[in-house]
Amino acid sequence: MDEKKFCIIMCVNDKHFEQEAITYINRLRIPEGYDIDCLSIWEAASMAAGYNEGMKTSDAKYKIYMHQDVFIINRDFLYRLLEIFSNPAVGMVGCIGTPKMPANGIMWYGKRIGQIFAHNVYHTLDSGFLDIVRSPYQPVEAIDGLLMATQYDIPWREDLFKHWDFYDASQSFEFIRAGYEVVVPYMEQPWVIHDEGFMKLKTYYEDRKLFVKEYL
Amino acid sequence: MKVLTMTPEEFLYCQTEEFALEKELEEKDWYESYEMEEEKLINQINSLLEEHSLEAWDRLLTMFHDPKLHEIYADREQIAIVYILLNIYQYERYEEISPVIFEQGTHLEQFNDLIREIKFLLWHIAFLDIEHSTKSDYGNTESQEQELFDYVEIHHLSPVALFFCVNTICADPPKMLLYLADKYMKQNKLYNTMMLLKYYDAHYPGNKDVKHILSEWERING
Repeated sequence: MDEKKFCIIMCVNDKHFEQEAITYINRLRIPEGYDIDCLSIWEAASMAAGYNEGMKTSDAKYKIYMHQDVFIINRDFLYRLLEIFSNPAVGMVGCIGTPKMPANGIMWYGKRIGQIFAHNVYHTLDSGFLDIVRSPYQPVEAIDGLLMATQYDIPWREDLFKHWDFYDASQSFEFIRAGYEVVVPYMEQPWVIHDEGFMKLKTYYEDRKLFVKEYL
Repeated sequence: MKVLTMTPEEFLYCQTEEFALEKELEEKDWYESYEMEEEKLINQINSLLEEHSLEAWDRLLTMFHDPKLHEIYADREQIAIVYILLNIYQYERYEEISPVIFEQGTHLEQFNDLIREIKFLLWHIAFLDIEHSTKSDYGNTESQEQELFDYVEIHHLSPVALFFCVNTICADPPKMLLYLADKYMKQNKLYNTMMLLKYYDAHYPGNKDVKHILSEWERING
């Protein structure tokens, strides 16, 4: 394991978005003595399967799993991560999270905290609709999969989640089960833009039942 | 990103299993009823785009005036893009601008590419130099705005198209509109400047400087 390396892991299916995400990654300030890799997983069978492949391929201690349509705009993002991960109890960091997962497992129906610019074709919202995080960071039960940064490797539950939903909530609960904190940091301004479009929930509710059965 | 406004009672109900099962049923119904229909609709849109005539584009506009269509498909990516394009087209026709947005392609895919590229270019201006973006200016982004202006010119996009793109893509549309108008003015592209300011004034009224510039422009040019 390389203690001084970051790896950004994305499951991708669109070269334009992949390239754009890399444009922003290339502008990040890299802490002295550290390296950064970028790993794109094409044709993943599921998000969890793709991330497991990425996790096994990379020897970086710090792995940042993110969607191809997430652009990191805070150029000091890696510095901020190192500050948070200086606490070994923190296992995973996200930009949005819920302090208490609702009983039905649908994250966006619970209280959410964090900061983000979110775009959905008709408009771009800043984070006014999310609650503010207490500085320097706040523990949550689950973070949104748009960006998930880790300092420990825990396998993603590809055995359970075979589509594109709940891999994020599941991984959050796996980290908590392993005894780590999952947190959302205080951000003065959003650290990322998420070009998220609209939700596609065709298989979402099927996976929701699996999630509720396993974790709630 | 779901943005929800609800009462405390509704908030609690939304967290229940019963509510989740209701939503699941709704979702299942949508896919059973409309997934195939959406494909047909997209084929129909592409046929009209291929016809490449004012008559065809007007037919597309009429088709999308149906509120039922909006209710069913407004939150589908491809269809949402068509709504944006039609807003631009309608305004362009009203302003008697030529070429109109639909002249830039014959397939929805080409318009997705167009909107995506403008989005990336606008975000470069707004975010690549994030340290400066909270100030009145966007910082040192000259090459980025030139890329945007070049793209707009190469693709014959009207100020109306640029205005609508800014409105849908930027987190702070009025700020970006003023910024771009200023940059156009510095390049002596007065038509683009005035058009952006005119749309700005219509949508975000109350800026005295903008009003003054527009009235001076009108006084000189009639």
